[in-house]
Amino acid sequence: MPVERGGAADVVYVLCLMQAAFMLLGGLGEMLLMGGNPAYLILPVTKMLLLFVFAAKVVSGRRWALVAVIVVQGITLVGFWLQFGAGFLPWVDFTVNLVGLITNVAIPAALVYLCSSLLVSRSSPGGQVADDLPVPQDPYAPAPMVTTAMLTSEAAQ
Amino acid sequence: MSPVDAFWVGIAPQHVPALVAACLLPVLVFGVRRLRAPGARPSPAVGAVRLWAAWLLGIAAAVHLALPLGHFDGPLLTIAFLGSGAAYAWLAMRALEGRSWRLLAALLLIGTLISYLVVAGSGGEEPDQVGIATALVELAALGLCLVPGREPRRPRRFRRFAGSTATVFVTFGVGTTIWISSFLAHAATDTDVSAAPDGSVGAIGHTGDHAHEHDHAARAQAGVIMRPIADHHPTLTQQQEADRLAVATREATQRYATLDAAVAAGYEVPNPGTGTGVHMDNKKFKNDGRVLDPERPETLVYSIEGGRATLLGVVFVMERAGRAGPEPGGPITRWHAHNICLTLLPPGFGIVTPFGTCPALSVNVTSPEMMHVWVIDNPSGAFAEGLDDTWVRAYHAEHGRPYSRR
Repeated sequence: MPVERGGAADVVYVLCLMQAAFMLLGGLGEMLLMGGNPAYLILPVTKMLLLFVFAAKVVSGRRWALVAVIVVQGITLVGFWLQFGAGFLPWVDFTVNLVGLITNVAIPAALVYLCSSLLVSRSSPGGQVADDLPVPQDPYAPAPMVTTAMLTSEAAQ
Repeated sequence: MSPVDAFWVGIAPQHVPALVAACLLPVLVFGVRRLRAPGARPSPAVGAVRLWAAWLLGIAAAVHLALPLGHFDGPLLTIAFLGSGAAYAWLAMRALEGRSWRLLAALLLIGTLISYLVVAGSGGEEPDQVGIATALVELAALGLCLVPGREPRRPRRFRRFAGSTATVFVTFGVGTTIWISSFLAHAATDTDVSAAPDGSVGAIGHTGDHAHEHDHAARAQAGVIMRPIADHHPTLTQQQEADRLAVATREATQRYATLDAAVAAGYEVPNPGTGTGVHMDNKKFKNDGRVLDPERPETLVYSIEGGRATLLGVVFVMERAGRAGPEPGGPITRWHAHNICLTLLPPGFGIVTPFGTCPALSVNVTSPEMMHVWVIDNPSGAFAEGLDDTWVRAYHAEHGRPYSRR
């Protein structure tokens, strides 16, 4: 399946890399707090590696990877709202801050949107066409003919 | 503290104009598009990477251009903010117009991030939510610069691997530095007026940066949540109230001078039960409806090492999370809460990172408000949040009492 250079898949890839770094930071922080016990790194490193694999496969155009990223980000989003709800219990609170909203809501939501768009575009008949078909143009406009190949090569610059 | 209060505490007042500018950016872009002449040449179609890069660089531009409105810095720093803001805006336009942008943007982003980390690390500015959010925006833009797009016929595996590794480690490094900076800023202000050698009434929780009025409020909210204080200078009455509370607590806890007495009163030794700051909770006192009662402190803090224990102080804990504790000593008797990550596999806890995240499959919760009162002669004062480990060990070696049971 052709992958557009500089397309949404590359944005998904970079956002997943950032999430992997967040995971590493949180895991190392917990490990240090728990007396340097490396067992606390197992889950964060596992999720980090999964994110790497999913991100790489999204760029390769794998449909299952898109679904996997949507599921992982969906869990993150549901988890945020569950924690928000838990904050109304008398024993614990939940702190909502700007950065937390970006990392726990905005980035996962953006990833779900991007992956869903990629899924839809690849499922639609137009998503399977070859690279070099002409983009429909206004026949009365004196504009030069533009092709998708031209667009992608321009985007690559 | 209510969620709304906690949200606003994280934003330094001098950064509000920058946040407003970033929020207004979409409105500005929409307005410019609407105002453009109907016959004007439409923008060329750009890929998602360029579009995202343009938005991210645009947000960074808006923040930097608006920073002088709140900072009131000298002319040099103002020019630097305006210059970097203009450069970000120019690069955003280049990305949108399909021209080269990656190299210059990467250099500018790295320079800006390093400058921020140097300022935060040197105590020039306490990391706050706007600063960290801007760093996140810049990190995402940097990732788009460093990782080249993949093509089926040109995989560019090495460049992608190098760019990906750099993105992860730069993000990790920025987060670590901000985390350390926020703890250093917290420790630097962790003292109270009772620690002043001349007993004079001074300023509490203040970095000394009077030009910026950077009161310390743990605005990174990475492990510690604090309420802002309206006035850093306690009144004489507040000073007296704080002294009264410290003396009452010291006298009331004399009966817990030995670990055995504390255990007999219902305080539980946690696991592991050794160290220079072992916190022992009393479940009965945690739910007795009393607040700030020196006779019934919710937690005792001991140093337990070498078969001996030393009572160091108490922690008063609010019964309900999110409810503000009373402050009889004004800025001296300052409460704080901890936002922590509870994990089940394996059972344990960490603290929330400056990026607001927790390890995988953990629950992010914030504790009820709490306040330390030290019943020993802590050099940082009776109401400081922490003790110096070296000082505690020396004190424990001299004053530790043997205990019989755990």
